[in-house]
Amino acid sequence: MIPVYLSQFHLCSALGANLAQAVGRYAKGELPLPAPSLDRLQLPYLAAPADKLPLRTRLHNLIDDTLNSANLTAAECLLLVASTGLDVCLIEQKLQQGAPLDMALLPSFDSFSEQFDGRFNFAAIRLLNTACTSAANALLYGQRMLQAGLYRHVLVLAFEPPGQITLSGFNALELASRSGQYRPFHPQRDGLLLGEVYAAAILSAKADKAPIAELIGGYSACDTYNITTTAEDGSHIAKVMQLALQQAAVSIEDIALLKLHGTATLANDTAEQNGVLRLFGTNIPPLVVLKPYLGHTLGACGLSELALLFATLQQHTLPPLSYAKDASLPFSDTELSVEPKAIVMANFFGFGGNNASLLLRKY
Amino acid sequence: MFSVIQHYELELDANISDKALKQMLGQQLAKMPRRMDRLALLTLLLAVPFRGQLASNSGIYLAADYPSLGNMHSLLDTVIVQQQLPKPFEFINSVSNAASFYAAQMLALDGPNVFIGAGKEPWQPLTELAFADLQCHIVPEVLLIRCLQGKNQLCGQAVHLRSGHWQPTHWQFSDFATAPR
Repeated sequence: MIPVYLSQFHLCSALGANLAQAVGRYAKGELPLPAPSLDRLQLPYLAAPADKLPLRTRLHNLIDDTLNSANLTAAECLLLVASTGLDVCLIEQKLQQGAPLDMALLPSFDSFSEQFDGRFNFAAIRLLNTACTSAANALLYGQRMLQAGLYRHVLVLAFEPPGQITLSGFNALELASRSGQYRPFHPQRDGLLLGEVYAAAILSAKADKAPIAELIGGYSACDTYNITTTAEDGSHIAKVMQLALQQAAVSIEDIALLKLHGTATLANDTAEQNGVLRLFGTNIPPLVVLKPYLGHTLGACGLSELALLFATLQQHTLPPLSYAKDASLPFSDTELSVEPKAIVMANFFGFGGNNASLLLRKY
Repeated sequence: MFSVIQHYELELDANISDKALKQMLGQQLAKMPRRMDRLALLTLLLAVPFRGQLASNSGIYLAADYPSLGNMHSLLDTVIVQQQLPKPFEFINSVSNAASFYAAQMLALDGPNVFIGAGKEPWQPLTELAFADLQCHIVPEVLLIRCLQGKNQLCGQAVHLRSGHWQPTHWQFSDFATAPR
């Protein structure tokens, strides 16, 4: 694979209204405080700072900011949208306001794309959904389409607004934390905290947009073992990580940091732990988990977590895991630093058998 | 660029029940996956003719104009109108590419599996994803599936491609369907 360059990260999350705020808090190991969700379930939820702008205006502003900071026009870019919920929350709001539930209320995917068509002039717009690997796949396919010469730049837009269906869905699956403590790989973990996020970045074939990371390759595949969980023995996860290494022509000894998916659900943590042990054996690289800081941002986590990680690595060390000694994988209990040009492996997994592993180089 | 191995089209009565779709599928499958929604049933009916034709690491790329409409209606009714918890599989089907998961499972594929939301012009984006994976040697062959449920339709098309020397004028199903074999 030919590396592509990631630049102009934008992030609005539970850690702050912008990426600089998030980096400052993450570097200090400052966890966001969950608040009860605004529905009747009142589950702990990691909301982004309140913004009175409608969702569409918020997304338009994010695109504007990203294009402007990269000094690009929309016409020069493919827009890849990664989200599991898109704007279903807007239908939820209409129903809550008393609109009757009618099939006509259900929007087509084209109607979502048309809002951007009317406002921007992108070379093309694609809506991509592979559950919680959506943004990871957007980055991978962005890289491959740049390499295939189909586009010059790719703008990846990844977001997950709060929605009742999502909150109640994870509650129905008994995967949502009730304690409000988000602790992947902790023996007393009690599930995930969902997080609200809006993120964007530019992928370019040339390093002319002040890149902060290189995407050097990766692999994404479907494990048909079960629609809700990947094989718990970690075999498919290990295979995907191995194929990612092959695609990027990198060996396991080259990995300076492994960003785990780490949802804090029993099935995912077990499968990922087994996959890591299968691939790395006793030579496990330094580990990091980011969901305690952002929440599980579902289809957007492939971009939101990389934005936080690489922007932090530019200026700071990474905070230790507070419960490193109790974790089921060998996390560091001291701060981590990563040298320039070091290679980071980043895992993302999701429902529907979606497993993805990306390899990036710190710029 | 491409070699077209096989293509398939299916047009059904939009009013056909899910039960009838399951019966159609059951006639062709020894074992039926459970808890599939209407989009998954249509996807499987479009994928069935390709059983045994694709290498296990092939890619599968699905485009649809809507999520499964019945599933989404049921979710909104349960969660927002009735203020109840959703059925787990209705929720999972709504947040993932469940339809292409079931197709991959039926075809015994474990390569890339991508869903895109596209109604009016699905073939250009589907083919771009497939072309990128073929060009980068990620997959040896690809299956592209397009499903339509809106505007009182229930239909779709599917194409099995490999890398080759045929260059279509447009990346459209009509070109793939009439390509030299």
